[in-house]
Amino acid sequence: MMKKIFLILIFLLSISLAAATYITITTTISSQVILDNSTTLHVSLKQSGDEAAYDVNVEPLATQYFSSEDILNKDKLNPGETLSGNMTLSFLGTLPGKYPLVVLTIYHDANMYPFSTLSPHILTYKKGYPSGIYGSINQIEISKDGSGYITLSLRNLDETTHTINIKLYLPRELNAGETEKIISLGPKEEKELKYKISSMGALPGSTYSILASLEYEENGYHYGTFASGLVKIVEKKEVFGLSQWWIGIVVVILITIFVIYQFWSWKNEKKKKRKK
Amino acid sequence: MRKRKSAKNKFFDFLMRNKENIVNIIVILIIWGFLLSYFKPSLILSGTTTSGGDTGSHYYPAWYMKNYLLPHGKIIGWCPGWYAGFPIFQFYFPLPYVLMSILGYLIGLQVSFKLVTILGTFLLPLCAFFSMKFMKFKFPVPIIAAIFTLPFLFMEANSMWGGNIPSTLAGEFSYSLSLSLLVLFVGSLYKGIKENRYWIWNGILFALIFSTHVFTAIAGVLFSTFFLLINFKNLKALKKNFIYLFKMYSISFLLVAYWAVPLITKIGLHTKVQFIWNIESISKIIPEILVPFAALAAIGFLISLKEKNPKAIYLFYTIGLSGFLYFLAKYIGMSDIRFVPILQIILMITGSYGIYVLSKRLKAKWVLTFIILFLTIFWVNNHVSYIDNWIKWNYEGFESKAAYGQLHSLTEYLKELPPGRIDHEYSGTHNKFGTPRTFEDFPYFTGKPTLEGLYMESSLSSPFVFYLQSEISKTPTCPIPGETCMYFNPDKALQHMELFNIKYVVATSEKLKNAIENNSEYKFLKSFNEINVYEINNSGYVTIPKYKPVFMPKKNWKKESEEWYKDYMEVPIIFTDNLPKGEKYYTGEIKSIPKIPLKNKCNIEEEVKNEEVMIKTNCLNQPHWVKISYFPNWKAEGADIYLATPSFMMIYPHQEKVRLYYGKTYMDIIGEALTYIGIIIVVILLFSKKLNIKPKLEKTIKHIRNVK
Repeated sequence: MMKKIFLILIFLLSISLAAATYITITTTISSQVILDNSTTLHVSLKQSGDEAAYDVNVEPLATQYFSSEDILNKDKLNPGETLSGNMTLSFLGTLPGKYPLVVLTIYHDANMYPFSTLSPHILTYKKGYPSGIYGSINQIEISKDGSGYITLSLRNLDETTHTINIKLYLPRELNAGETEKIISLGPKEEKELKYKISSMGALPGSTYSILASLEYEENGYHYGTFASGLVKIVEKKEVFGLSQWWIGIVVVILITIFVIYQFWSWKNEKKKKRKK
Repeated sequence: MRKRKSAKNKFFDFLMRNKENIVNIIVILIIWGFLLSYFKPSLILSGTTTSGGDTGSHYYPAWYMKNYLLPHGKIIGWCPGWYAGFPIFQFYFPLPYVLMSILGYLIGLQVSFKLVTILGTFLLPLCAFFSMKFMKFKFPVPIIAAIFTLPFLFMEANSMWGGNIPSTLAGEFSYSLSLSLLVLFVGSLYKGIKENRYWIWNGILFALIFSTHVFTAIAGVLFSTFFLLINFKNLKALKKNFIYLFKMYSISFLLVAYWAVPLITKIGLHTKVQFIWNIESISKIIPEILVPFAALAAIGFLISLKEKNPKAIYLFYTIGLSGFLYFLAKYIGMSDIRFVPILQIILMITGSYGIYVLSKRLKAKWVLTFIILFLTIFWVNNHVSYIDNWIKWNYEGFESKAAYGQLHSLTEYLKELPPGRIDHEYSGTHNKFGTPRTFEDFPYFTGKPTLEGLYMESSLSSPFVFYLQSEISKTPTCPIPGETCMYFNPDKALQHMELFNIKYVVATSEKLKNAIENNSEYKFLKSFNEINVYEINNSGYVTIPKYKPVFMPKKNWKKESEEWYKDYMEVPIIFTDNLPKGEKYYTGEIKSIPKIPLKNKCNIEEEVKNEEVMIKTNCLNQPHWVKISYFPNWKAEGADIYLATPSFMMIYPHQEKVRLYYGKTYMDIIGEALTYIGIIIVVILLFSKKLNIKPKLEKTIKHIRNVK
């Protein structure tokens, strides 16, 4: 009986469960059509996790077309709570059209570990038309100290060649060497660009959104759109520098030896008893 | 051929004979290897200043111990770096810092600090092993107990209770060391009492526990009641055990008397900090990572009751008592949560007894040991999410952080400025330097004192310091339970900073910088990215108060002083039970203290050292406010010394030259003398057999009698 209980316990030990607290922040951005050289951005953050976020800061990232000194800030954002406010943006562009803008949100968990997220928003100056460029970024997984390659796939949907300004936006936990590129894309042409993404203290289990703004100008109009992708940080579970599956194999071998030995010694004892 | 075979056989025989010991050694090495795979030697042995949580702030006391206290032949002394001065290591545990310092002379403090912070973690499996071995648990119980310390160490459910790696990384390394020693003590006390031996060694061990943490020491004393209760009906055994415990604790007391006697006699001069945790569910005490091992302990408990195994019952007694202490603590003014890790770790190692009863009839227990080892490692490794990040964050040090350049420029600038106390705004954003408490290390980085620090219970000034922090911080910490904080008010803060003789203010938030931009009292000096340094006018460490102080009895001084500090700071209050001749107590309300102006045209020269203040004044018998925290060890040559608001010293000089120095009280001297006596007794007792002292003594006594 004891033997059975023991063997059951050994197997129970190898069953893993998971439970964790989390912070989930959903950012909603709205704005009106820009008519002069400034506009107001309305940003709303909804916290739908189950632990509080601390020292929450929201700021629009400056580009050659926008600048802002406004920062939205809250010391603590409890689960279910919303942080919203307006930020004034100065518009520095001249051509009418659609302009991409990225809003960066930085917050901290209870241990003051920082996290950052990016939110895309397209602003229209006077009048804008949809971009003729379509872009997408594949989802990748990298370890917390590792790196990996993302592929930005671009397709020109138009019949004319476009010279595209590409800018890659990453959360602070990720890094890429070169983030700005200019490429030319012929009619209906497709191209792929590769970027090496490295983790800079990103937390395992977290998924980070990355963005690439795709902009070009044509016929007195500015065109802009985003390509987005995800980088998932995975825990590389190792023991002594080896994949922990080696441990699993060692344990299985040991258990097999152990169980066989029990039967063997049990049989031997029985034999001895019979001889007696 | 025969010879070779026989050598092979001999080796095989050796292996078989020592099978258990070899397994024990291999398993301990694998456990340490597993720990080292997290605490990477490249981090631990690198010459950087440890950062992270409270740990980063612990570096300054270690540095002070190595560079000031020990070279001056002291373990306890006065430290001017935090809280306008405080008695360092009088209310905190000195042993880890002594170890760091001694080791620091050999390998450098940065590395020795790291090694001592992880000492408790690495010792725990070994202490658990020997504890169970001392209790004569059969193989493989002791080594499985060592393995079962891993789930406790890697438990991520809390980072403040103590003992587990997250708590150790957050600054609880002294507790971790103490807990490991307590685990060893549980077994060595059992062995000692059973064999009626080793009382000196157990006395020394308990002294080490007490020198590293007081909560573990309390638990240790109460655990020993088992040996009185179990023999309650057997008077002879009861007497024997009582004598054993009495001798053992007497030795411990003598060894720690240098610290304990002053601690007990000055306990009224600490700031009470009591944290009460509300644990809503049992899953907080036994989180998922501990569940299988707690289940094994429960099986062991049920069987120990059936079998009436005294060793197992003793272990369960200690678990029950730890739980009882947790519930009792809040009623006796102690932080309750420190008793929970004791319960958890003993529960874990008792799980090994569960394995023992379940596997009693199984063969090849050495194979079983390895199965349990690898399963436990697998289980633990899959429950770890942030520990390796924290370890890296702490042990790569301040110097490896991306923002170190900014910190270095700031601290180098502050170092070059003329002497003066610094006050800084608290901000979570300082975590980028290594910990939100980075600026508490200003005394180490800049050589200049700051107000905030660790060990808030050690200083009478800490409530006032954190009150001031709340006036200048966008996100104040208000860390002392029961103490009120102020709203953001940099203008009001100026009065408090003047009182604390602050010369430099370090501001981080836009809120503070904007608020003081228009205040001409704050003179902007330099900016380091978002951090600005300002200078304010200060009047020196020794000043003549504007109005004549009033006298009040000491009885309610803390409460009265706090009321005074919040609004009515113009007339200082002197708290004394020995009223000087010609003075009388003020009995009215604090807000209505009469303002009698004092002659304020005095020439005062001051020279402030770590434990000495030299004052030259031409205003004899006038009150001189010394803006250094009061403590009874401060003595005056040429002046009378009093406790004055908020928690400072007020002196009345009798002569032009006054010397204030941090000396010794009678209780310090008595404590030190007792410790010397304790050391001599221990040396004599330990070496009496080797040196054959006892027969020699008897012979000498006989000889003297014969001569008479």
